[in-house]
Amino acid sequence: MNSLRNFNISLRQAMLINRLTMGIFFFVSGIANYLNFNVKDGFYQTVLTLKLQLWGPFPAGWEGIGPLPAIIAVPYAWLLPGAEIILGALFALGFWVRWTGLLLILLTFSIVLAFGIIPAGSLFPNAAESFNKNILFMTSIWMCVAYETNSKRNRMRRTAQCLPQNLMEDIEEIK
Amino acid sequence: MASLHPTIVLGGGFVGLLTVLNLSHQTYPHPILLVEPRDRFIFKPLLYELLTGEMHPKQICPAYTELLANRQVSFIQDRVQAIDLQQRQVTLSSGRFLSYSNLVLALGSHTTYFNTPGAAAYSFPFTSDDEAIALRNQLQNCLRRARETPNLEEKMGLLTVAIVGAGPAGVELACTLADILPVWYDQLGGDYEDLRIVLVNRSGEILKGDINNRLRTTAQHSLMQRTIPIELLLEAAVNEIRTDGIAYQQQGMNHFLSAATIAWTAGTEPNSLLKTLAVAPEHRNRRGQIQVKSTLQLLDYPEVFMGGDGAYVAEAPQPATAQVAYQQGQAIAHNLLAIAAGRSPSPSQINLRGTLMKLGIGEGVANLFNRIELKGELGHLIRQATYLELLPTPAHNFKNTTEWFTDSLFQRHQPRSLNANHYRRTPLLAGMTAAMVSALIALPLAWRAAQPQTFQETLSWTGVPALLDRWTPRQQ
Repeated sequence: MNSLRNFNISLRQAMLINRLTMGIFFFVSGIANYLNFNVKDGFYQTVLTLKLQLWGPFPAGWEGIGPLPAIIAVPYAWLLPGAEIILGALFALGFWVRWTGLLLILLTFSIVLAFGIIPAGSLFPNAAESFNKNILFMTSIWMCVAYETNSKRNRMRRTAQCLPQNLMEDIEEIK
Repeated sequence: MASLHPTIVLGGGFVGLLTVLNLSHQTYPHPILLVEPRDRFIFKPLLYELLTGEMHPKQICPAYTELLANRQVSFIQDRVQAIDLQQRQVTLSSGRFLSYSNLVLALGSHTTYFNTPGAAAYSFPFTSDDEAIALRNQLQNCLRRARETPNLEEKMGLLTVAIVGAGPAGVELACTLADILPVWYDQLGGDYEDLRIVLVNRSGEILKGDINNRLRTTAQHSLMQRTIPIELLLEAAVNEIRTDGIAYQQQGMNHFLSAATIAWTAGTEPNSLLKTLAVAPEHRNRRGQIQVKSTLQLLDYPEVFMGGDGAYVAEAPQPATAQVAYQQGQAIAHNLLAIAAGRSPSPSQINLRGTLMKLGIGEGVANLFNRIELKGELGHLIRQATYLELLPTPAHNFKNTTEWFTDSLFQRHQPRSLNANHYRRTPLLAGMTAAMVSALIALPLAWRAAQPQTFQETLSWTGVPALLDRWTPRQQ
């Protein structure tokens, strides 16, 4: 009980767990999208037929905008799972977090656009998603990116990367 | 007889160097002599990069022999002792006399301390490579001593840096130090939160009366956003600089700021040699600058040209910046060539393309044509690229631009003694390997999605297709 009360809540660890969770989620999601690419109602068919409905079928009977023209939908469908796999792995492993994070946010945003913010068209749905949870993924990734960019320790790390190995030797050389 | 004498350029800063480079490039018919006490050109806007080590000293301070190689310019490394405008003669410290047909005065400026007691002795100016290195050594020495001393009061003083003057140099230096000092102190095992950087200014606002004043809001925001937020001590008149700090007056009250390192960026004044010139007092301004015509010729001596910090054009005053000096050097060369060809000199056309400031390591702001403000990393890239393109010779600026770009791209600057537990960077090789491995995972999956039959037949011996089929419904 005492150790629970004195449990040290580390922002760094929280962000690490958040980043790992997000990265692994996208990595697995990319694999799953390729595995289920051609099945009925699978990823490919969804991208080719889905219509944009930010607020579900509202007003009643409205089916939405689209679907995307094939010239955009086909490359998007083929490249998106690959991007999820590569960016998810890099993000989870902590490589170029700012840039991979921003790309993942863009990627997620495109999915949000496709599936809508309130897919069920109502806040009180029956067995349908009332709020697109991908938005929460975007905010979580954004937190990881912000932590990477703004924390003092990370700022110092980036500063250190700009420093030379042999400043003293360089100066001695010129003197 | 006069035409047999050379054209002498006094001072190898931007104005002087650009004059001789342009003259030699245009096959000027007269001999050209460049007189400069130093053996290296100093690219002053990039001195911060020299302090931090972001750029190689050779990039910022190239040797004149290298810059003037294969050019019809004689370089004399000497100090000017006297200039006789009537006799058209220059006396050097070595005792040598030089007669000229045309003279270019580009003597630059030096730090002024406004008769502040102790300022010359105990503060660190920041106008040359030697001064930048001296400041860096002082700072690193203070950090080391702060780690060793058990005396808390002494430690606080050692970890405090005061910068006098909140003009562009003071702001840029403060931002740079606020990023670099925590890294240095952390490497020594110290707590970077103990560091203090104070920017002391006589007036109530930073960048007052400067060409960069449009960037004040951005600069102020940046000062607060550094690894160590910079403290602003405004409306503070410095009375005395001591070895252990600054005595100043604020709102009629005397105060003392304990600081082991005091950087002085409060002002410059034209070279003191200009005071000895036979120029009428009405042709000088309060700063000691000498009035020149729009052609950059002295009013009473048309054979003498002048540019840079020591000269002013009454009808079109210009700020003392590198871009102005750069264009003045070109304009003087153009007019000397015109005179040599028997034509009349033309008024110099100075186009200000905006202002640039360094606001920390890897951060800057670029105010393009006073219309577009770009800040952060983009501002830094624009500033760096612009200054590298201003380097004196095309070969030199191409070489340095390429070096800087590849250093940045491949992250060649690696910290030597950083604690691996403190810093973890993205190594290019490891990052690329991770990306490649991920792509290798994605490719067979994409192949399976595109050509399930071929995938099945080709890789059936590995058992992978059967494994994947077990995870997913049958392909259609």
